[in-house]
Amino acid sequence: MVINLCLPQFRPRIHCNKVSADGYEVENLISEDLIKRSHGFRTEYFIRPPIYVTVSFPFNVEICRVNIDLTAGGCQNVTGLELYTSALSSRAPQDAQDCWTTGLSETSVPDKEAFTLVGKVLLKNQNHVVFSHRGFKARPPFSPMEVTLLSPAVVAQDLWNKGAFSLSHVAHLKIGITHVTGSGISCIKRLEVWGQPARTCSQEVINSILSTASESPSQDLGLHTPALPMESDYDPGGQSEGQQSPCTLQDMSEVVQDVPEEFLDPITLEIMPCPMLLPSGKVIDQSTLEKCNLSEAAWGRVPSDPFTGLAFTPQSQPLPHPSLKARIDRFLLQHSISGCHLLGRAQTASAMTPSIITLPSRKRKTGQAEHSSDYSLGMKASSSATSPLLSPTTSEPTAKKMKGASELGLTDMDCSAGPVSHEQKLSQSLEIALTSTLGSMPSFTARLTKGQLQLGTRGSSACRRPATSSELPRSAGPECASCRRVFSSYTTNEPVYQLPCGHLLCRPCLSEKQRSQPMMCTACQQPVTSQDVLRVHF
Amino acid sequence: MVHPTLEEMALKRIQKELVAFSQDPPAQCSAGPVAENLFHWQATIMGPEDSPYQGGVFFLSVHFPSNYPFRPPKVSFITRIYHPNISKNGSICLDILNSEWSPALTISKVLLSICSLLCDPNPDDPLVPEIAKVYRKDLKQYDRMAREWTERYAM
Repeated sequence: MVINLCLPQFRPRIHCNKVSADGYEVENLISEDLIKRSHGFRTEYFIRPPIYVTVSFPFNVEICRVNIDLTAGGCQNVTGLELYTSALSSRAPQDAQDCWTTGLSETSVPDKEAFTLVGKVLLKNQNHVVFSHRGFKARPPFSPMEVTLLSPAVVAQDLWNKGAFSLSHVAHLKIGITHVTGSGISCIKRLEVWGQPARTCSQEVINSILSTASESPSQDLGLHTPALPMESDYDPGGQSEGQQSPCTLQDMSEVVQDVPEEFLDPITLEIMPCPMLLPSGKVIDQSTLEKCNLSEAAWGRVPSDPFTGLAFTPQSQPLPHPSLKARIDRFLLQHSISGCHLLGRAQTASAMTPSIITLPSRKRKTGQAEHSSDYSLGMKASSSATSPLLSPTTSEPTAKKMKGASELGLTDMDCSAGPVSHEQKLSQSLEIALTSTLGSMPSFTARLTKGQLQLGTRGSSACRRPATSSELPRSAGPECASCRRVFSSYTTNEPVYQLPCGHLLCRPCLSEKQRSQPMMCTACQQPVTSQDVLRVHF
Repeated sequence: MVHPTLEEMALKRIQKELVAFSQDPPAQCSAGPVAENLFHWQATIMGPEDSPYQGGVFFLSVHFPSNYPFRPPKVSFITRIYHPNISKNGSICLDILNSEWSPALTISKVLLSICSLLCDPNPDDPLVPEIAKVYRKDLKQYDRMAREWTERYAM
């Protein structure tokens, strides 16, 4: 009988000119692994025809029949198919004998011009193609094979005899996929090349092939028998889903691994700028919580936990998650991920900037506006003056010490992270936080004293004024109103003082100003008393 | 930098659900996108055992809105089914697909809920009142009709 020359014991070699999908390499068609053979060959989803699969045989063969199974995912993809053959040079008998007996592998594949087109077929709704050689004559010791009946799903096509060597002296067989439907994927599930050694092969080669074929008849049967039940048990949905998931799984696994899962919102899978801890123990972003509440309000319901459906109560409602937010901010700064908002220390630092922005516009205001502004500032000054008297005197020094300790801790953390680059990244996030989240976001500061509350209120009110002002600030950060030195949490540890009018002073300038009476603000010439001076930190 | 758009957020969530579904599919269910549009899936539900739909394979269509997961997906039966809460054009009367939707739900949980609905119809809130009436008055007739429809349309 004729033999299937694509079986692994005959050592064919196979090559494809395009990229194959992972797990669906072209070597699966001639693999010894049954699982790989069942997978077959498939290109990546973005590869377009023409695709050429070239099979090389270690000896010249005479082709009887070529069976190609193009089943994939239950739907027809390949609609155009071509078959080419190529023969070796005049040294064929010697090369064939050497390759077969010594096992040497040939590395070169003939050029495109050396191939001859011997078959072509266009498919509509068929998955199997059989190219048969009408003029094939079996020679002893190879006997003719029974002709199998073809089902309507199989396309039978005669091979064209294009010369003496096109079908009876074949060393390379090339299958070309020329057309696929729409956005279909090119694939070959199974490939069988039935034939016998060519007439020019020596007797030694023929005997070796015959012994190899006779040594493994049971293996030969075993190779084919399991395939048929697999085909009959074919499940289109499962196959289709299985084929689509590898790419998606890989893409998704790469993306998800970049960010720790606890930093991602479980509902939107985005990094959480403002994590909120729900009563159910889950953490979601504040914007997601607002969207969930809007969805609930559409049905006339009160805000509730999206994971449990329980309505929020004053005893159990979402709370800011400052420790997780600190870790997320550090992760974002370390990995230079832009587009995410930073709060906390960025917000505190941004509170200093609006006063600098409002300085030029305040100077240009009319006298009446200045009077009303002075009146409001006076009110704030008087309220801030009375608040220290209300608080107990014993707790205030303790609070100051704790504040100083936390500031030292923050300074150490900043130094270890690299001052210059850290400052630049913080400046970038400062701009983002200033424009979009300053007034509407909850504060994540652990402890707010009354003075800082006043400061925050003043900062947020000043934030609204830049919208009406077309003047840009002259300097990038807060600075001393007297000597114009820029303050930064990285360059200096000296204390900074704020006057009731919002201007800042460094320690030497304040000392110099206290010696002269009465005390006046250098920038706006407002009278100042020593009791109204506040020490600020950033 | 701006926030991601609602559609980008929905796409990321749908891709995550596709990965989770492939890794841990629920029993008797399968689902995946149709062609290359991730917002349009096709799902299959095997008829639950101990129900008249046993042995049937029911195809469903799943359309995700652009603001998913803050709006529920639109799920409908493609295969005809004899059920008081499923209309003849495939609409499903299920509260989590309407008023009781939560962004924490996933397509996997939705399909499991539909499987549960096949086992335990809810005749008090019917979409097809005639079938609900048969279900209440003559349970054997309901089982016979359901099995007949399953053999005719889902096998």
